[in-house]
Amino acid sequence: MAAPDPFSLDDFASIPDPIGGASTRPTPAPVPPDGASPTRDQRRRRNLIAGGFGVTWVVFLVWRLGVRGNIGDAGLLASLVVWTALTVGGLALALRTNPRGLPQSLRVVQIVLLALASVYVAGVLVRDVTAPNVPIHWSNVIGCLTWAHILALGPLAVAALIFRRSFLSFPAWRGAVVGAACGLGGAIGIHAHCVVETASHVLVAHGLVIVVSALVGAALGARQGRL
Amino acid sequence: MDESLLNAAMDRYACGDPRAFAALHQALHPRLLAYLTRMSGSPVLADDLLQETFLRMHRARSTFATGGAVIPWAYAIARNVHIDHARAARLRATERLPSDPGSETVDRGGVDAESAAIAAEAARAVERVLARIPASQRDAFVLIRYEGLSVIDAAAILGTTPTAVKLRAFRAYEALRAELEELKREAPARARGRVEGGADGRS
Repeated sequence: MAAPDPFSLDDFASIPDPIGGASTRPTPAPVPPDGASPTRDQRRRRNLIAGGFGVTWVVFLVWRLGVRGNIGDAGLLASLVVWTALTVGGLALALRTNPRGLPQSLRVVQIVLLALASVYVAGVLVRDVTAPNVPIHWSNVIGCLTWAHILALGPLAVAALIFRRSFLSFPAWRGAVVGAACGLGGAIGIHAHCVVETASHVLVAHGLVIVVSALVGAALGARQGRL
Repeated sequence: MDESLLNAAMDRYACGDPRAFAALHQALHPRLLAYLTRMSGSPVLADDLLQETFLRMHRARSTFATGGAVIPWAYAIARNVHIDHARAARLRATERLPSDPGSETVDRGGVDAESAAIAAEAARAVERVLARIPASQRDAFVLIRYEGLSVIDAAAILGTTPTAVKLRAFRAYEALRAELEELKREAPARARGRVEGGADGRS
């Protein structure tokens, strides 16, 4: 025999409804709200264009900066592919809805956020095993740091537009995931350009943008992300 | 209206069919109005918040997932509207208060009036407790008990797990039950007081 549920909801009906009559008021005639509102197809097209712009922004800037000479190296390519897959997959997982069309729980969003950061760091540390230990210096960092942020700026601006007033719950956390994904885009872009493999350089000069973008995403989400 | 028909109407509305709005309004208006009245404690304010809810639903119709359920989606938007209002109200240094305990006129003449007075007192006690307990517990309890949503839908609206929602709702229920039992214990003494008060008034 199953044990009785200590948190049974069966007795909830014994609690009276303080406003029992409110729902019996007559429903007024429907007045459709004014104002432009995109349809599902229009939004899909807009998102496709915006996503394409974000990717093009990163690819174009990396092409202008110059792709690093050893881009064909198997280990490097593997890192870039894993990070790209992580960005796309993580974003899809965090933003997809459940079968009832409602958003994922906060726990899923937090796990994705943690995964984005930790897989990036793990990738850097694995690559660093064979790299020479070059001490970190401000002059070596500032260039990559700046370009990483510029690379992330395009996707971030596009995301701010796409996800404005679109999160049903926890807009700051969901904004943080979107921001981190944009930051990861910037980190991938600068990593495809810069040849320095030292963990300290890659983590700070290439990776700091993930943290900054996540914070910007969280702030934007909290401010204008709530639906 | 059947839930699947309502979901289909929302699907049509998301695809740009303006005629679907009437069906949505007809089905959702009473439910959302009751919910917002419970959350805000004011029928007048609830009317305003409901207008804002329908406006947000209209603006965000394209984000409604194909094949999704419109009822929990609409509740989630209504909850956001209430949260935004409550935050703005907090900024204006005002807060929700339970209904004025002396605002209702009670006919003290008969047995029915007596039970009506007890029911009104219980309702006020429920309001008081709902205003006092943490918002997370109130949200969970209201969505499950009064709005009739499933634990899974309530969890998705609140962005948490079904277990957490169940626990929060149960905590709210315990607080409410304790308050109502207290009220029940005090009821005979209060009734005696009313009778004695009435006798004094007649002499």
